Amino acid sequence: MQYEKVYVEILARFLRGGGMRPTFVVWEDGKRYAVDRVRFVERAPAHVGSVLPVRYTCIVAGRERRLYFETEEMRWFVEIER
Amino acid sequence: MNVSRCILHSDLNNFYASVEMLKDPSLHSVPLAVTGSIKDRHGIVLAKNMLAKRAGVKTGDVVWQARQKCQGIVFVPADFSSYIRVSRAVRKIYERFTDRIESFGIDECWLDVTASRFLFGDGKTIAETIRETVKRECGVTVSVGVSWNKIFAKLASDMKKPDAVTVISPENYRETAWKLPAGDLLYVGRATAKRLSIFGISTIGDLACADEGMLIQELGKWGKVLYDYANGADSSPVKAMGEEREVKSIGNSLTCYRDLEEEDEIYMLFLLLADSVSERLSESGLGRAGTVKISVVDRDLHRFGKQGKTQFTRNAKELADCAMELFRALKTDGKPVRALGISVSEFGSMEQLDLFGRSAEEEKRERADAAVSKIREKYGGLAIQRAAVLKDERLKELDVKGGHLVHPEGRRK
Repeated sequence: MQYEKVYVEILARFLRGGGMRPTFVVWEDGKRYAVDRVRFVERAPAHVGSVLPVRYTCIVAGRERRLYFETEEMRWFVEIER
Repeated sequence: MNVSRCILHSDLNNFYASVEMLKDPSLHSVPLAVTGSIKDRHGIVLAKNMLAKRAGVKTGDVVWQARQKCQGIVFVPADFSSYIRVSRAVRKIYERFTDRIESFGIDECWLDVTASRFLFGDGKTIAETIRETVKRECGVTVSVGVSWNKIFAKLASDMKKPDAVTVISPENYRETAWKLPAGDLLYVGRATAKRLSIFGISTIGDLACADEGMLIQELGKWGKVLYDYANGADSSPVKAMGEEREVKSIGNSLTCYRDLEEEDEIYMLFLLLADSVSERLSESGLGRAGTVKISVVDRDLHRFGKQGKTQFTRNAKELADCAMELFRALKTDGKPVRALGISVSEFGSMEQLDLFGRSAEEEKRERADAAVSKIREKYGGLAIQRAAVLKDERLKELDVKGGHLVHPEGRRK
């Protein structure tokens, strides 16, 4: 399967005890999708090119979605199947 | 043979190329070579992926050579900051299992997990867990060797690649390690392998079963070291985190009990200092030094310093001669000298065994130096001295390397 890397805007909450949780995904057209729940946070490689991203496995609009955070560049991306 | 330890050697497979494939997954399907900057004429192959390796591309090949061997090869310039990031992340994974981690370059580490076995399972289990975790979290693969000493652990990690665990145990080392060519052993370079083959030694097993006395006679102290390595009798420890700080220079300085005016007195003091520096240099295992630096304090407490290059050496007399030359070139005010110091740096890395490269005279001097240190070790620092030093009653009683001085922090233990 082929994947495409798409950078997205994320609204995030920074926890008092440390750590970060995405709360909304802002899509290219400006539409906002609420992150209902973060299931896992772990370092994991992506299918697309990225060095050491942190993978947030989330429930967004009732479906499981993976959001990736690149610590070095401080930006988020998602993978889209093609 | 002490087999109670459990040592892992973890080796990141095709490391630079693997990181480049993380950055651009499309490189998985093409032969790939990571090179130095082609523009700055550093265009040699630093690393390659499996496809390029299969086509015969070797580390060190010049770009055009690699292209000749492998049509369609893709070159990418090295991106060290990414490699360091991944290397650190992998090290963090090792740190979950032990604090005894010793790096060997950017992509290799030894881990002493002797005590960790009570927490995480036996050596093989820990190795498998590390292998899986590195792949799952970082997206690169490691080959892990498991054994009871560093040498066999490293051999084991080279036996199966990529993404694999290999165990060399006291039960199987005769069937595994001993079957490998002697040249696979750490620190056996091409010249030594060739030399060994003259004696009919082609495998590590041959080396292990050879006559120890003969090896020592032929190879000097390295004969003993290699004999021990081949027999799994290496007991060198895996350094704990923080212990492996690199030594940048070794030096001694001394304020003389009286001010020195004559050149031969100054030379005498340099000799004393050089003796100590040279002995410490050989103890440290850092090889030879290529830069000598002197410091001079005159009677009025003015400080002078100068440094210069030398032929890589660790011979005391050569160091002293070089120091003296620097001193002569130094523009002091011609006032009497109160204190002198010598330090050496720019070490020739781990000594490669090269049995043909050195002159007989150099070897003779080194043997004399070794004999002197042995006598001093046995009978004390003053048991044997340089004639030049005997001219001064008080200096001749001064043992620079022994008890008097505290060596600066950072000296190798």
